[in-house]
Amino acid sequence: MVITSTGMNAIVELQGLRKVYRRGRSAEPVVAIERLSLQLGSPGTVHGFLGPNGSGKTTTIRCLLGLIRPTDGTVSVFGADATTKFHQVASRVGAIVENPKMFPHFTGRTNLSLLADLQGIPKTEVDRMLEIVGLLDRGDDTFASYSLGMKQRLAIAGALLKNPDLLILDEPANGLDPAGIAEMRVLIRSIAAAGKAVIVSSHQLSEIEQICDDITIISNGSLVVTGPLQKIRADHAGRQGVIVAIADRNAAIETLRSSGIVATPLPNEAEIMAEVEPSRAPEITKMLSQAGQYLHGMRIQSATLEDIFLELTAPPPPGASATAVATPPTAGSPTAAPPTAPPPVRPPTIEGGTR
Amino acid sequence: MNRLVLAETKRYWARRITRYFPAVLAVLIFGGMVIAFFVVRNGDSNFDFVRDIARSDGPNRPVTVLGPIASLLPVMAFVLGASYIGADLKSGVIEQLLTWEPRRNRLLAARIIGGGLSTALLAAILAIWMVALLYGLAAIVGTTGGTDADLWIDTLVAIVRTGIASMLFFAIGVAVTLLVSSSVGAIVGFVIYWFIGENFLISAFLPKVAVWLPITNATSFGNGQDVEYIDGSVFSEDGFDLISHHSYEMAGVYLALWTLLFVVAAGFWFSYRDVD
Repeated sequence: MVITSTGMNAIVELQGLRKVYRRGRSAEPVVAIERLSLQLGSPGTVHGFLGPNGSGKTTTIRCLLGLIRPTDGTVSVFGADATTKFHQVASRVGAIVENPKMFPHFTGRTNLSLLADLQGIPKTEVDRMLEIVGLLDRGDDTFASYSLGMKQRLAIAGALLKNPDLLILDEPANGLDPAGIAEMRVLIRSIAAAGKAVIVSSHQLSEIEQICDDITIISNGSLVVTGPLQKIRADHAGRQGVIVAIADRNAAIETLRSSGIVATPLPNEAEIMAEVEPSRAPEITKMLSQAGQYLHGMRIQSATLEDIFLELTAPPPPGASATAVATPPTAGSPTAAPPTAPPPVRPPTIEGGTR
Repeated sequence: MNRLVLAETKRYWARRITRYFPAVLAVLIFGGMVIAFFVVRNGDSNFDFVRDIARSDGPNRPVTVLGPIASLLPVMAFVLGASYIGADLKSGVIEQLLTWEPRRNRLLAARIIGGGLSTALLAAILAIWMVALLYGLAAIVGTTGGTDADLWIDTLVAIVRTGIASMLFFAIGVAVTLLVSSSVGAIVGFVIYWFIGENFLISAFLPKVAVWLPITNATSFGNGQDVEYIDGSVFSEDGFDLISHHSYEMAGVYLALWTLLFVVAAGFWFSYRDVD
């Protein structure tokens, strides 16, 4: 066991993981994962595993489930080598990889029952899982007749059937409608609240932002950043401040500047941005009102996870060197490879490795 | 392991093809018997054997008719084995199964044991169905007067052999499909090899090689007759002789060895391949 950036025991540890695919003798080898070292998953937390399409997320998940053999490096899950000893911990790991995979002509209940038989799980658990994912009344319909969202929910029921200590969900919100996504969010948080570790791979960043405690971003098979979400957000906040909508922008800018606050007009003719900590918003309100300048509106400008993701995974500018050395995180701080400078605007920054 | 075998057996029986394919064959066998009934009743001498099929002292006993027909049941077994693993590969369910039972050779063994025994049972049921219809036909259009215990023992042994051969071909179907990663490819390749490759080309042109090959041995094992090879040429005016090479019991052993070879190769490949 190692200690993650959240100070908790990490369940999954990757050391120098590398996976190269060779499709046919004449084909060029494709590097899917390039020397990836990181820790994922702590009891009671949700860990977001992010990256652009083709960045190596699913390949990494397959490696840690023992489905594919790393070309180099090691993967351990609950301390067991995932490549050779995954069977020792399989009963503690529930997973969905990519799309929900069940037999199309079996009913939802039959699909779950057949899985339950593999580990002698009682049939009552099957109905309980169907109820948890809201499919109890559709349990006797065939999997093929389900909508994508229902298939996704059934697959989650299958993963939960083992009552796993670690749940790995690869794009769980795929195909879900807004209500389904909200339900999924609640479900994932409730699983974590029960003391389980959840690793969620997704590109739906707003969802990740709402449910995750920690995140890892990879790009081109290499680590970009990993650590607690709040910390990463603070370190990559970019240009944050308070946006004020006011009638006389020039007068407001002068008022704020006279108090030592940098304020600039925004493209929207009615708005200015005061470059201060969001916590100083009440102070801004007071200053302007004391000067007889009354606000029409106010909002906080801060970096979203999407901003951070786009910033960190942006392709390098032409001619820029594309090197990155992924290093494991140290306790309490996120790890970026390489560290990025606080950006006033979104700069094209790092690109992890080559593919 | 017992739980895994039981789970795989349940999974096998839950599949539609496991139930429907043998059911269709049962209907076809019944249809064949109905046709035979009318042909015999209309006096076609080619089907006269049906009249005294149930007589122990007759030249055509159920076992001699059952043998050639039942030797086709392994084709069904191969298709069932190929489609069983092929469906998992195609749907990606294999990925999910491996997160429940990551020891791939255990999963493969459980599948072959559970599915193989089930297939043996299905083949035996079909063979019994065939015997029952033949017996009924003989009772209607001929005689069952000479039926004795020896006839039933011989028939029972032939049914057991059919079941064993089907179980082995189920395993070969699973193994070949794993090796080529396609149930359609495995089935098409198998049928072409069976009927054209070995039964026609190799048997005709390389008869002393054919005696070692799986289909020749399977047919001999099903028929309960020695494995023979052609001495001479089927195209020669001088004709040819059929020379006995080994017994049908040894043919069963050779078939089992072929099955083992395929299963070990598939197990090795399955253990090391990436599942993605």
